[in-house]
Amino acid sequence: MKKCTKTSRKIKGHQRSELMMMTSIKTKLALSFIIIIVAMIITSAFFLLMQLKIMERYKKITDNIVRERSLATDATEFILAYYLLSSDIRNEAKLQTYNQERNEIEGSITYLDREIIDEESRIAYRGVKNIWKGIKGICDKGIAEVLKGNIENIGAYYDEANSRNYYLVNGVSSLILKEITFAEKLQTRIQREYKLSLAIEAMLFIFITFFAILGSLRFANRLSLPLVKLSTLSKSISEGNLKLKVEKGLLERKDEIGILSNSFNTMVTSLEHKINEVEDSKINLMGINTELEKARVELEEKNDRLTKEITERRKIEEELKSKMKNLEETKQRLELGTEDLTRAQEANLNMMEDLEESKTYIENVIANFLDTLIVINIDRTIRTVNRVALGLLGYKQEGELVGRHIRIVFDEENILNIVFEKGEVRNYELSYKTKDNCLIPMLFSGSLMQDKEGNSIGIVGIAKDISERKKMEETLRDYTKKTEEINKELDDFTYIISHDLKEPLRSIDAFSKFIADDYKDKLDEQGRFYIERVRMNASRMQKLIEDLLEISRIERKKNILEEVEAEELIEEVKLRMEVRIKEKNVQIAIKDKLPKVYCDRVRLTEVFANLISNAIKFNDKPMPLIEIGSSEKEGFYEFYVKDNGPGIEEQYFDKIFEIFQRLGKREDNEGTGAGLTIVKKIVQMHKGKIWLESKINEGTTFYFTIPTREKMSSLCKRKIGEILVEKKLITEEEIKKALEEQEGAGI
Amino acid sequence: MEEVIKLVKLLLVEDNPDDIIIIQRAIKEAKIINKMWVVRDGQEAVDFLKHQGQFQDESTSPKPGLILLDINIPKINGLDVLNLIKQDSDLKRIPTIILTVSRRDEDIIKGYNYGCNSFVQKPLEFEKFVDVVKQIGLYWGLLNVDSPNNRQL
Repeated sequence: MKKCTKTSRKIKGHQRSELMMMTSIKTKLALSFIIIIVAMIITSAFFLLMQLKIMERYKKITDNIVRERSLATDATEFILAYYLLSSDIRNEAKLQTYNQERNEIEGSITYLDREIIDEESRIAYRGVKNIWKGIKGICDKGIAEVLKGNIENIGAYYDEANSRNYYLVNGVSSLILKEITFAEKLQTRIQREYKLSLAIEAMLFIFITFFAILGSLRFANRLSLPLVKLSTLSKSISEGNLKLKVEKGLLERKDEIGILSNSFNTMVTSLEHKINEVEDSKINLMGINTELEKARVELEEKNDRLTKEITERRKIEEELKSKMKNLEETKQRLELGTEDLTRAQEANLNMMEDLEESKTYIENVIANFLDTLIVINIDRTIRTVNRVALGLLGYKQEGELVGRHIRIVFDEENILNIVFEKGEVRNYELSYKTKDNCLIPMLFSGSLMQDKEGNSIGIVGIAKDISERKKMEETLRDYTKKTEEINKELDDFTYIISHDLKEPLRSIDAFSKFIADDYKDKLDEQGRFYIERVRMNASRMQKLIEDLLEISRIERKKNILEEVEAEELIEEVKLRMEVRIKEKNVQIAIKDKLPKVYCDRVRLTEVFANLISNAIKFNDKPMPLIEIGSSEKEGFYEFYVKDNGPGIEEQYFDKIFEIFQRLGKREDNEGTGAGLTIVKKIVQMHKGKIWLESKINEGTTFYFTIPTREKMSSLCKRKIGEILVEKKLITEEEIKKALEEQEGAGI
Repeated sequence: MEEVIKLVKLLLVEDNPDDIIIIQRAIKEAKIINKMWVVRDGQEAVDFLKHQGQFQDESTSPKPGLILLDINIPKINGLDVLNLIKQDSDLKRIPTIILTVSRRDEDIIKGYNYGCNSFVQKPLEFEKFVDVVKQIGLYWGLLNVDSPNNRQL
């Protein structure tokens, strides 16, 4: 009994160790699967993290660029604030603005110090930082100087700070460029790493699937073959053949099969023993049988377990599959994320392109503007200068002027006050200073620039170089001066003639009269006749000189024009010739109503006087008739003076107006023959014409025209205007405008 | 208090000898019997009026009651002589007539600005000259009563 229990205990211990071995196989299998899956997840996570990190960096760079741009604008505003402060150092508000701008820049600097990662960007950034330090130093020094009371160097400090600001802005733009380059690099990296991660995960997947299939195949082989063998063995054993044993290969296996084979062998051995022992002890047979039965049950159990394990393995396989699916999803999400990033980047690029485009457009418009264009900020610094202006002023780059105070160009600032006050100014004459301090006369027009809220933000000023025009004007002035000089000379000459030529004539006249009077008795008739001739010629000579003077006076001396009733003039003439009219029994008839004439009153009276006087003088009829009338034609009043005199032959129609032409015999008519020349001159001076119609023995009609007031103004002004337009000094529009302005002023 | 009626003395400032003869004759023909002194240039005129130089003797160079002044005369221009007369408190009350051939506006304006009492152009014909002189005689009353001031000084 004791022995029996010992054996059964032995068998039990053996069974326990077999169970332990079976668990280890299961665990190993599960563990390997878990490791592979974890590895896959870690790899995915690693790549995901990396991509996220790069994306993070990319975002940072965008933030940096924004910050850098604001740094550039802040710096410009800082310079402005400095300028305002330095000129008004005690102003709290200005100091506050100054400090605020300064802090903002310092903030940006600290931020960028921390955030710029790319080495190349850092190099560019260090340059910007150094320039900023320089500007800060200058501004501090400048303010210290002002506080000490040395204000004469404000301008120099400001100029220095301002020119450095220009470098700062340049530095910032190159920094931004570096950052963008870096961002592009990062993007390429994201794409590359994404591809890499995809490849690695695909490989892992294939690897796992391969091992899973291989593993299950091998497992099946190892499990089923020994079982077949064992069943054959057990069959032969059941047939009573106890000599057969499990082959050595199976026995040496350390897994469940090995255990099974061993126990099988043990079973067969013990069966052998038992059969051998049957003979000896039939009592033990039952026990052995039971043990066999037990072993069989165990085997069944083991079979069950195996089936279970296979199911479990399947389950694990399924889990693996679902995990792979998850991985795939994550991958897709990652892909989507990258796509979003690309899209955002594209949008950003598009926006920048749009911005760039509109900027280029405006720059083009400004650059191709043919007059000078200067945009001035509210603080009177220059904001934009176009190419024409740069060329004219002798600067090479916009940067030389932008940001400087406008007085570097304008010779006076008052015009800006006017623009700020009135909103716009047109055709204001001022001078621009060139780089080498020459002054160019300009015709300036400016208008106030306002933002959406209506606050003034600056002035857009265009200006035309009018040096040429000025030169022309000067030439014109010179000519006018010369003409005046010549006129003066002529005046003096006239004086000499009237004084020095006439005086001897007066003496001749007087002394010949003295002879005629005092020596009346001593002279015979012939002598008296000669003396009379001397006196007559002297007086004639004087009249000639008078007429000559009168003609030259018409040319030179323009009297003021006035509105006169033509009838008044004729009444005046009639009054003057009263005696002669009565003597010759002349009838003067005025046809209809004569118009009001815009003329030189004295001279036009002279015209009527001359024509009427001629009509009377040469009339050979017993009842001389003179008819005066007028009509209006195309802006001119046409007057006529008609007589019933002897008439004039057609061949003399033109000649009659030439100076000192007399048609009659000398003895017959008094006068010098200058009368009609004077008349013609006067009519021409009034922009009119004179002509005549005549029939021998029937009479003569003199016609002359005088323009209406409106016509007169336009005639006189157009003449000046035409010259100016021809010389391209002014345009037609300008003339029209000028004419409107000058309406009503004299000629 | 005593009303002294006496003939006004004339001073002619004229450089042209012909004109001097003509004017003297015209005065004669106009039946003007006032005494007339003649000086030949601007300097002489000033000296005569201020009793200096060759005209220191007041009896031979008395203060005139009317001055006939030509513009275009040597040494001192007639207009400057006029200006001197009208600036001088002793002389400014003497009526001064410019008698000239000049028709220049400039001269006429200057003449009146300086305070001439009349601006007369020398007529071309002698007969008219006589008329003019007659008119001057009538207008300026060559039988003038001296102003009290003039008498005292």
